[in-house]
Amino acid sequence: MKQSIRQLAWILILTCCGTTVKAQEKLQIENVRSTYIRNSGEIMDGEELKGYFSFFVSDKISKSENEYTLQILDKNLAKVKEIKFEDDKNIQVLESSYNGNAIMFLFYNKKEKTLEYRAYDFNGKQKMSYVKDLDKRSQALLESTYGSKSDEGQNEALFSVNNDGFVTVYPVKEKKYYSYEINFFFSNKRKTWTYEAAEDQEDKFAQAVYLGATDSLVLFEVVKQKSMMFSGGPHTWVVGLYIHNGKKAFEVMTEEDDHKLYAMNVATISGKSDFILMGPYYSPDAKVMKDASQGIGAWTMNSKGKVTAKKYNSWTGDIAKYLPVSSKGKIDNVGFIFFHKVLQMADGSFFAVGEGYKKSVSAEGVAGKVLSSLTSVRTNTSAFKVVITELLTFRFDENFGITDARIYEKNNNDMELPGGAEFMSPHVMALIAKAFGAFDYAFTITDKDHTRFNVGYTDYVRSGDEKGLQFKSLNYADGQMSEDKISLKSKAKWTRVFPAKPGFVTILEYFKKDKRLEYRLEKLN
Amino acid sequence: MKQTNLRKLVLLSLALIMLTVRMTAQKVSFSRLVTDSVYLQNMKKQLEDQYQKDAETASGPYKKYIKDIYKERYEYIRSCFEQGAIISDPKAVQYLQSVSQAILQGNPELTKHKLRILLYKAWWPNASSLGEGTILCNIGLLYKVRNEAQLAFILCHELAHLHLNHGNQAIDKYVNTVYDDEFQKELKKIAKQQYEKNRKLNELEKSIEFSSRRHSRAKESEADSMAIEFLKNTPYSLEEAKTALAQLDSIDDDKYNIEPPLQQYFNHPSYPFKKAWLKEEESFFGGATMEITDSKLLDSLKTHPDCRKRVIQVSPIVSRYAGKGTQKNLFEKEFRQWQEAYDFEVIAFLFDKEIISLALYQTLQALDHYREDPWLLAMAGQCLNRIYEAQKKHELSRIVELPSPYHEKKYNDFLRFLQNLSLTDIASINYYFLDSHKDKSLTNEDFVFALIQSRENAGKKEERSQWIQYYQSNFSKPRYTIKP
Repeated sequence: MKQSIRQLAWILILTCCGTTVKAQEKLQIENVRSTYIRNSGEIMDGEELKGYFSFFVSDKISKSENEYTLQILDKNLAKVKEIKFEDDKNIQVLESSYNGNAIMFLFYNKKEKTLEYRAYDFNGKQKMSYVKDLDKRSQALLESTYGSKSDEGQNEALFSVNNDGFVTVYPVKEKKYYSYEINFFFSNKRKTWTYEAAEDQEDKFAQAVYLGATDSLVLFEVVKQKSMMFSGGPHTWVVGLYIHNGKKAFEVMTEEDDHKLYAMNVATISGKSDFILMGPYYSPDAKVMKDASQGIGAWTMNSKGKVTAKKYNSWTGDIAKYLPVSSKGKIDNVGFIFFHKVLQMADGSFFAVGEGYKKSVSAEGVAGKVLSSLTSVRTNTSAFKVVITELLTFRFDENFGITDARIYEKNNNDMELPGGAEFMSPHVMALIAKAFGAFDYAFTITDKDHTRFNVGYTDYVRSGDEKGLQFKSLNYADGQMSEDKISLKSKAKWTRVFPAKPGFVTILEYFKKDKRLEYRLEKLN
Repeated sequence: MKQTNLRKLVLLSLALIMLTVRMTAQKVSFSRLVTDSVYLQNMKKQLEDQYQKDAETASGPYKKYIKDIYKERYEYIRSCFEQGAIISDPKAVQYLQSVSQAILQGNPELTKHKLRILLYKAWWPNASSLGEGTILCNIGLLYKVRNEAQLAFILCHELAHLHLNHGNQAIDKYVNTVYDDEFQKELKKIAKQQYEKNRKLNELEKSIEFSSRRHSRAKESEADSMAIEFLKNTPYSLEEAKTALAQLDSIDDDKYNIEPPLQQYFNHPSYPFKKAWLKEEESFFGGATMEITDSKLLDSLKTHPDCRKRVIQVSPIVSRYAGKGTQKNLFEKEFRQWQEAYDFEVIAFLFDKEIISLALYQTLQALDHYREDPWLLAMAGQCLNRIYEAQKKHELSRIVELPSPYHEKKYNDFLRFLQNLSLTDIASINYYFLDSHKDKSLTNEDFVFALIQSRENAGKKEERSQWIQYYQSNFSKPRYTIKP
C-alpha cells in the first residue's frame, strides 16, 4: 500500500525502542520493556486539523494478537487520551476523523483483508464498529489507489459530517466493475447506512471523491469511464446522498451543452440548501484527460442536483486581465496550471491555488534516445520532461467574478517523463507529476469555517544568504494576504514542515549528532 | 520630510530633558543578586568531597549500583551550580543561615551533619533533602510562605529527613529490591517471555512503585513528627507548622493569583486591543486529560500523605508543646525584603532560562502588586522583544509554552493570547506599552534597553537612534552592547 506522507513516518524513528540486554548485566525494567510505533497521523474535522494520533504496539499477547495503544494528542501536541485494546497483529490505522462528539479510526488489516471503522467516545470507550471484508480484487484496488488522491493534512477515505457522524468512501471491485462504496455512521445513534455504487453501475470504472456536505446531503465527485481507452471518457458526475437514509438524491453529469466542469471543491451557501461546485472547466467536446482547461468555473446547484447558476472565468477573457494567458490557457513563463485547491471563504469570496507546469525538451532524455538508437538498447525515458514553475493564486468575488490573480515566483524544478510523453496531454502530465510528488505545493491548511488559510510550498533558493531549501507559505487572514518563509537550512541534518492547526505548521528537525528528533508547533507570520 | 524629522527630534530631546529632571524622585527598583564565586567554589568542593567519601564508603553486594546512584545525585546537584541556579549573594545566604542557625542552636545533634542549605533559584515551591547533606530550598517556596516560622518548619522537615537518613535508606531499599536475586530472576523470566511481556513488567513495576510510595508516605509522616521536635527547640511558633502544612494544598497557586489584565496593558489609542487576541480554541475530545481520576490509585501513587491528614497527625504533638515557641519571625524586615527580592529574582531566572511565556505572565501579575515598577515594566518589554525575535525566526515554541489541558485556565488564556498575536501585533503592543510607561522608568537601564529594541522591532529606526544616544549618555557603565 502506498504510504501517504501524512502518516508521518518520522514518529517511527522518534518513538521506537527495542530491547538490547547484555547477558552479564543486571536487568532494568526499562531495558526489558519494548514498544513499537506502527504509524501515526493527523486527526481531521472536515478540513481542519484537530489533533494527532500515534498507534503503538504496546505488547504482544499471542501468536496472532497484540495489545495496541492509540495515543491521542490535541492540536497543541498535548497528550489527552490513551486507548488500549487487543487486536489482530496485522492491523494499522489509515485515517482518523473527529466531529465534536466522537473520534473515528479507520483500521486496515492486510492479512485478514478487512477495513474496520471504529468510533470512540471521550472516555475512550468504543461506541461502534463496522467491519468490511474486502475480496482480493477490492484489496488490490484499495492498495493501488489509497494515498494518491489527497494532499498532506487531508483525509482520503474518512470524513466528519457536521455533528451528525462520519462518512467513508473507498474503492471496491465487484465482478468486472471498478466501483466504490460509501458508508455513513451516525455518532449520536447506533445507525449506519451503506451505498454500493456497483449495484446500478453501467460504466466499467467509477471512482468517487468526497466533496463535502450540506445540512441534508453528502456530496461526491464521481469520475466514470466506460473503458480504459480514452475514447470512452472519462466523464465527471456529482452524486448527492441524503444524510438521514443514504438514498440517492441525485446523480448528475457535470457536462452540459456549454461546458464540462471538473469539480474540485464544494462550498455550501449559508442559510440555503444550494451549494457551489468549483473547478477547471473544458469545452463540451473536450477530453478532460487530454485537452487543456478553458478556465475556472463555478456552478450553483440546488438540493435536487439542478444547476441554477453558472459562472466561468476564461483564461483568455477575465483571467487574461490579470495574467498574460495564451488562447490555450498557457501563461507566459508559467505554462499550464494545475489546481491544487479551490475554497470559498467565510466572506463569500473564493480562492484558487494553482501551480504552473510545462513540457520541455530533456537533454538527458534526448541523450538517452540517441544512445538507444546507437546501441539498440531500449529506453523507457522520453525526450521530454515536465518543468514545475510558479505558484499562483486566484481570487474571486462571491459571484465568482475574478478580482485578483497573482504569481509567486519560485525556482523551477523538473522531472523526467516516462516514455510516450510526446503524446501526453497537459492534464495527464500534471497527474503524473502529482503522483510522483514533483510539484512544490505541499498543503493548504484552513479552519472549518474558512475564515483563514495557509498554503505551504517549498522553494530552492540558489544563491545569496538564503541559499538552500525554503518552506514558503501564503497566508490569508482578516482579508489580508501575506507571505512567510522558513529556512530549512539549520544545524539539523534535515528539517521537514508538516501541516498543523490553522495558522501554524509543525517543524520536525533531526539532529544526527545527538540522535535527537525535535518537533515543534510554530506559528506562521 | 526633513523638517518633520527635525521637529520630532527636538520634541523628543525636550521630553528627555524633562524626564531627566523628574527621574530623581523615582524609587530604586530591583537589582539582580550578586555572585560570590568563593562561596560557590567552596560549596562545590564540599559537594565533591562528600561524594567521594560516600562512594568510598558504599558497601554491600550491590555497592556498584549504589555508587552509580550517588554519582547521579552528585551530578544533579553539580548541574544546578553549572546552570547558575544556586544563589551565592552573601546577604541572601546570610539570611538563610540566620534562620537555619536558629534551628541548629536549639538542636545541637544536627551539627554532626555536614550541612549545605542552598538557595535554589527555581520558581516552583519546593524544598528537598538530597540525603548527602545538601538541602535545596527553592526561592519559589521562600517567597510563598507566610512567615519565617513556616520556613523554619519546612527546613526542620528536610533536616529530619537528613537526620533520619531517609535519602540513603531510599537508595538502599531501591537497590536491594531491583538488584535482588529474586527480582532479577523474575525480570529475566519476563525478558525471555514472548508474550504479555509488558503487562507483566507493568505489574512488577506497579508493585515496587506502590511499595516505594507507601514507604515514602511513612517517611514523610516520620519527618513531620521529628520536624516538630526540632522546631520546639527554637523560638519559632509551633502553630505555624500546622499552617504551613495546611498551606501546601494551595502552594502551587500563583503568588499574585490574578488573571493578567491584558486589555489594561496592551490597549493604546494608536493600537487598540483586539478582541480576536482573546479568541479561545474549541476544546478537543471533551477537554480530556491523561490525569488519573481513580481516587484509590491516586492515593496509592502519592509520595506525600494528604495535607489535611498531616495537620491532624502533627496537631497532638504541637499541643503537647504548647507555649514553647511563639515567634512568627525573628528577622521580619529581612524576611519581607527577601520575599520581595525573590518576586523579581524568580522572574529574572525564568527569563535567563528562556521560559519567556511564564516570565511575562508572572511579570504582568507582579505588576498588579508593584504598580509601575520600572524593572518589571522593562522585563515585560524584554519578554515581548524576545517573543518578537523568536516568532520572526519561527522558534517561538522554544521559549513560549503551548496551551495544554494540564495548565491552569488563566495561564492557558494567556498562552492563547500570545498565539493569537501576529508579528506586527507583538512589535506594536510592545512599542506602545513601553512608550506609555517611559515617563517613570527612564532611570532604569533595562527599561531603556528594552525601549531601544522595541523601536527596532517596530521599524522605528530614527527613534531607535535617539534612544541609543540617550542610553549612551545616561549610563556610564553600560551593561548592554548595542549595535548602532
